[in-house]
Amino acid sequence: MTMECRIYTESLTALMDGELPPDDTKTIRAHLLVCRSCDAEYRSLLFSYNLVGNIQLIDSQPAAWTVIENRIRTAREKRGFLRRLLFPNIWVPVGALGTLVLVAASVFWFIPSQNKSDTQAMQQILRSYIQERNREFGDGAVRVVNYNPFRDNNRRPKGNPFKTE
Amino acid sequence: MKEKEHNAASNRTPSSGIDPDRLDALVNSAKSGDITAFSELYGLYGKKILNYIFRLTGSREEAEDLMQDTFVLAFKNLDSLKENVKFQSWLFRIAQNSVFQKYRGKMPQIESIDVHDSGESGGVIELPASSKGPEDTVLSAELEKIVQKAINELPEKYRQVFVLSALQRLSYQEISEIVGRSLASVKSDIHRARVEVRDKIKEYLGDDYGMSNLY
Ligand SMILES: [Zn+2]
Repeated sequence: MTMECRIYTESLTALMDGELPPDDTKTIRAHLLVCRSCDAEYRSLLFSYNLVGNIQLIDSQPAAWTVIENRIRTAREKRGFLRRLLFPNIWVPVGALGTLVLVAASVFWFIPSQNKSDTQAMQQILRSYIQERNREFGDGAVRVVNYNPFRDNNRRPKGNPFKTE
Repeated sequence: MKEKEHNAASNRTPSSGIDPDRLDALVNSAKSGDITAFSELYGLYGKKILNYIFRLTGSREEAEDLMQDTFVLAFKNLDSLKENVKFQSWLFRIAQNSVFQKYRGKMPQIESIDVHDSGESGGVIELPASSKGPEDTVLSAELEKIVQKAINELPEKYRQVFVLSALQRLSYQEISEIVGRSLASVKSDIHRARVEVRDKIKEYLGDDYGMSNLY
């Protein structure tokens, strides 16, 4: 057996299975015509291949499909039951959650945070003003002041605007 | 000889020879929950899967159970099948995994069938005078045992590719997808498996090996 024979022998199974590229098939077939040992090996492999190919196939039980179908249906019903149990109607919780998110978003969106902090600042100024006035006059009398801090554009009076000179 | 060769090669059709469009439609219907479509797929592939598992496990009862498991699992996981045309190799892979899982990652050790028990003399089996013509392609029970024994004695990785190539007649590409090995490795393993089985059969048949009236 030559080196060439060894290489070709490795491909004999692929040759009989029709799994070789056309060029290789041509080359090996040509070799088989002139090489008795490779040809004998090929025939020998082909004989057992045909023998094995004729092995009897077994048939499944007639009820096999019914069993499979029942198992599939049972599994499907079980899955459906669990889903219904956990989420009676999936769109109810989804809708409710969506509405909640929308409401929360609009509340936060429509209360301007800038105004909120301005209101707090004004309240603080007013409280200081009342405290200061009470400390100075103590009588609760209303005093006219020249300067109204709440009308100022930047709303942050410098110094105490309520103190009379 | 040429005719037999031709028959051998022409049997090697992917996906049961079913029209790919028809297969695609059936798998799509099954994916949307159509059990009737899935029953058609069972009709096409049930026997193949059963026989594949049977040759791997050597047990008919086990093969029935695992075949049923394979189809139930396949229906449940159909959405994970990306290419519908690869349904056959996907199914074989599920079947193979079911066998592996059952035997915890190891292929079952098949009890050896002693072919000599039923023969009259030791050594070589005496085959009954062949009354069957070449058109009768079913092996004699004796020969069937010899072939099964030869398959059983194959190492794990050879047994898989041998059954898929010589019995199921799948293409090397499909076999490579099923067993998850490269095409080159599959090609080489198939050849070695065939040589081993041939040698075993030759050993049992002795001088009768190569006689065309054996089957
Ligand atoms: Zn040669």
